[in-house]
Amino acid sequence: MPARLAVDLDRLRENLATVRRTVSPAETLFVVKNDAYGHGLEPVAEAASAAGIDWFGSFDIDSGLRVRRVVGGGSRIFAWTTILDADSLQGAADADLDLGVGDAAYLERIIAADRHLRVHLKVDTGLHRNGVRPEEWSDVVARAARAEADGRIRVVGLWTHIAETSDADDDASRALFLDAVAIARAAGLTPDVRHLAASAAAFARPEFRDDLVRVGAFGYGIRSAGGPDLPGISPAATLVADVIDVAGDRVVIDIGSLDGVPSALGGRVTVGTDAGARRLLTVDGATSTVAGYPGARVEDRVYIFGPGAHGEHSATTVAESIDTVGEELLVRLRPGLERSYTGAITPR
Amino acid sequence: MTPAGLSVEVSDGALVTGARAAAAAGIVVDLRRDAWGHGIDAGVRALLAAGVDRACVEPADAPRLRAAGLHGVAPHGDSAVFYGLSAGADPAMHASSCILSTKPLRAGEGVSYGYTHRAAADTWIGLVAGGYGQGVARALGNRISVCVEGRMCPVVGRIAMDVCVVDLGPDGSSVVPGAPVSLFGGDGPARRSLDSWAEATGWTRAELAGVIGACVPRRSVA
Repeated sequence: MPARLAVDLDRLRENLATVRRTVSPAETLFVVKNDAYGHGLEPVAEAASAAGIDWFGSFDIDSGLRVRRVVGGGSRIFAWTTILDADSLQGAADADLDLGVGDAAYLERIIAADRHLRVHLKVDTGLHRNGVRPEEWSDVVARAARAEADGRIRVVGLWTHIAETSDADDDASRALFLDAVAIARAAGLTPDVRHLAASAAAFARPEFRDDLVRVGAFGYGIRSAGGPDLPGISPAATLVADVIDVAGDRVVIDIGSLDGVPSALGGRVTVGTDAGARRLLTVDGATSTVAGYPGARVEDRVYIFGPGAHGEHSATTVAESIDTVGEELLVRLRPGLERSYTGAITPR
Repeated sequence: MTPAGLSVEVSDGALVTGARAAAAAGIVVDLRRDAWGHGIDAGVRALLAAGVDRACVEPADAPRLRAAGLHGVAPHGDSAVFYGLSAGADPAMHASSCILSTKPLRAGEGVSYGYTHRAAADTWIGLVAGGYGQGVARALGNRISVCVEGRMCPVVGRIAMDVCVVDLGPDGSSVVPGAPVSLFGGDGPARRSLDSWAEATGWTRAELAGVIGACVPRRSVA
């Protein structure tokens, strides 16, 4: 078999069960953007839906359409990229997506589309990416309330995203968020859900859970960089390569930097082999080299990252060796790289 | 208007020029991994146009390419010459995106996770489609500039999975959503930006460009 990302759907479901149990009574929105963090959108969305997830986060419209085809009607799909073109807005309406809106000009485009789209208004509480600045919030919610009264949109959610810089900064962001919620209610908006927490804050800060938490990383078992391992959360994916040559004191494997494994990892980490952990020596374009071991043979497997069954580190531990996050190692994997699946998708 | 996002254009002409340069230097081009994210068809077309009949190809592609007149052999030499990915070269790939929205940023305010950037003075920032989920290495945050309407603007704060933020300067309010952003390649000031990307990350130009090419919509241009 060629190099592949092997995904254990049972483990994914266990992670999601841990997330749901931890954040309850808040609901769990499972983020499946970027091809489900590289794990493959369709199998992951199907398994998550079967496990009882009924809120999905797709970021973009195309991914939202793909989720809708898998999960059918009923589930809510939240897409929060800023859409510039009218065709994509029509597609969002046809697929019954919930739109995240953090920009006054984008709100105007949705109002102009007049498709009674469900909108979650986003306030910027310090991250300064997408999000309406607090000083503009009153005008934006007033505009949204008028458009809702005219039947052009429905404001169903209020949200923000926090910087996770420090607890104090996050507390300041939450205070701004609560102010924004009060201002929106005073303007006549009656949203169903408020949400600000992603994986880390949803676990570490119970008061941040509100009605809904947006969880990506922990669902896939990706530990926060610099954060603790958590009971009931473990990597769902193993990046597996095959030995294609045994050359002296090293083996050559069929995965490299053009597959999305950063070349900077060469010499910095160990990987799993049938003989336990061995040093990853170099990451080249289409291949890499690993320190050899007794009895090494072509077609042996090497495990770049995963849950640790063969001595491999987690994606996050590997990523920390080059000062990045586990998520990057997963989403950087070339889309054409094979994905394989184990574990049952059982209907709920 | 097409959906907003990061995409790449691959220049057939640049690849043909690269194919001739590679052949002259005795290089046997590596076309594996979808021609380093440039598209196998574009790579094959360029080599054949330059009169080259040997290249390193994926085993699965070999029979089809042999029928087209390209024989699979072991690679030799540095294929970066073919793709324009040598230091100081003009890449055959042009990566571009667009501004999604703009907003003011006040002096002292932070940007993105960890607030690794804080504004020294009041300015305007733009949200750009494309992040490390599309192959824009996360390590590039606060380390590179991209071209917005002809001006090089620094990427500020951590690069997120789907977006990054650029400092448009105090006059940035004139930049409208949809404004094009050039990351590297093409014929503007960002043409040779991969040199600074490589310097900032210690990663190869091939992986910095090739993974983006593999992840985002791609089209061939003359």
